[in-house]
Amino acid sequence: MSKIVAFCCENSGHKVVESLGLSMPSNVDIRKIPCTGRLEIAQMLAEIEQGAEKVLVLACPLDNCKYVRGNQRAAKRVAAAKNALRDAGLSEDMIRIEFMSSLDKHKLKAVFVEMGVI
Amino acid sequence: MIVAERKPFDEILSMIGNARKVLILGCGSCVTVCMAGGEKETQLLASTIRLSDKKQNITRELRCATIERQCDKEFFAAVANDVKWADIIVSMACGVGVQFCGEVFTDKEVVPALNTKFYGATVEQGVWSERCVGCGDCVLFKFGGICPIARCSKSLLNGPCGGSQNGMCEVDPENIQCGWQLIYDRMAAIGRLDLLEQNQPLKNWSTGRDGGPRRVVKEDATL
Repeated sequence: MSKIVAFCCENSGHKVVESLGLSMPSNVDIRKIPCTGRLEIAQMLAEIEQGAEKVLVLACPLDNCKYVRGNQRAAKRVAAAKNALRDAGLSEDMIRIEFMSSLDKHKLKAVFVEMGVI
Repeated sequence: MIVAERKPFDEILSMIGNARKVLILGCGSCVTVCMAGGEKETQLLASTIRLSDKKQNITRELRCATIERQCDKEFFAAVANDVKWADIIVSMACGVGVQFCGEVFTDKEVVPALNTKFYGATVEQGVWSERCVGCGDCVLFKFGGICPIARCSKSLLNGPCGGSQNGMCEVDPENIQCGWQLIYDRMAAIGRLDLLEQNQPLKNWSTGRDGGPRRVVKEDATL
C-alpha cells in the first residue's frame, strides 16, 4: 500500500480524518495545518523527497474557506508543485488536492480507495 | 523594484551540467518581493533538482543560502564558505546580482536562474507591471506622473498613435493599456491638459543605454 502524507486544514480535512477514527488507514501521515492557504510548494515536494509516495491536500470546499481564499491559494500551489514534479520527470499525480467539508467522510474514503491507500 | 521570473527548469539544469556541488544563492531584496529568487524559491528549485537527480540516479550535493542583497559586496561574506565548497553558484538574483556575485568570487562559475524583466510595481498580488526603463533623464513632470517611455509600446513623447483603441494598445489589446490614454486621463484629472499642447523635442537618449554602461558617483559618499 502507498505511504501518503496528508496536509489537512484544521477546519475541514482534519475533522474528516478525526471522524474516521480507528478506520483511518495507518499508512497515512497526517499534517494538521491552520489553513491549506498556508501550505508552501516546497513543503509538498519535501515530503516526496523524504519518501512519501503521494501527497494529499485536504482543503475546505471552494468558496467556503474560513480565511476566504486559502483553499484557492492551495489549489494554485498544488498546480505549481505538479509543474515541479513534471520538471523533475515524475508523475504529477503524486500530489493531489481535494475539497471537502468536515462531514464528507464518504468522500475521503473514496479518495483513499482511488489513491490505493485502502 | 527589479522584477524577474525563473528560467525554465531544463535551462537551469543544462547550465549546472555535471557540477556535483551546487550552491543555490537567493537574494533577499527585489526578487524576494516578486517571488522569483528569495528563500522560498531557492528551496523550491533545490527540491526540484534533488527529485530530478534522484530520478536519474545522479549524485549531487546542493546547498541553499539567501543573502540580504547580491548587489552589495558586504553581504557575500556570510556565504564565503559555501562558495568555497561549491563547484558552481546558481544565482537567483537579478542580472545585477549574478554579475556582482561573479565579481566578488572571481574563481567561481556563476549562472543565472532568473530572467530579469523590468523595473516595476506590484499592481496586485502575484502581478507586476513595468513602470520605468531607467532612461536617466526623468520626464514624468511633463506627463502627469505617467511615463510615456515605459508605458507606451512605442515610447512616444508626442502620442498617442493610431493603435490606441478603447484605452488599449494595439500591441496587446487584452493586456496592455495605452500609455497615452493613461496620460490624457491623468492630465485631465489634475487640470493640466495644457501641458499636452506643447510638442516635446527629440529626447537625448545618451543618458540612457545609448550612452553606454552608466555610472553614478556621489562624491560625499565616497571614501
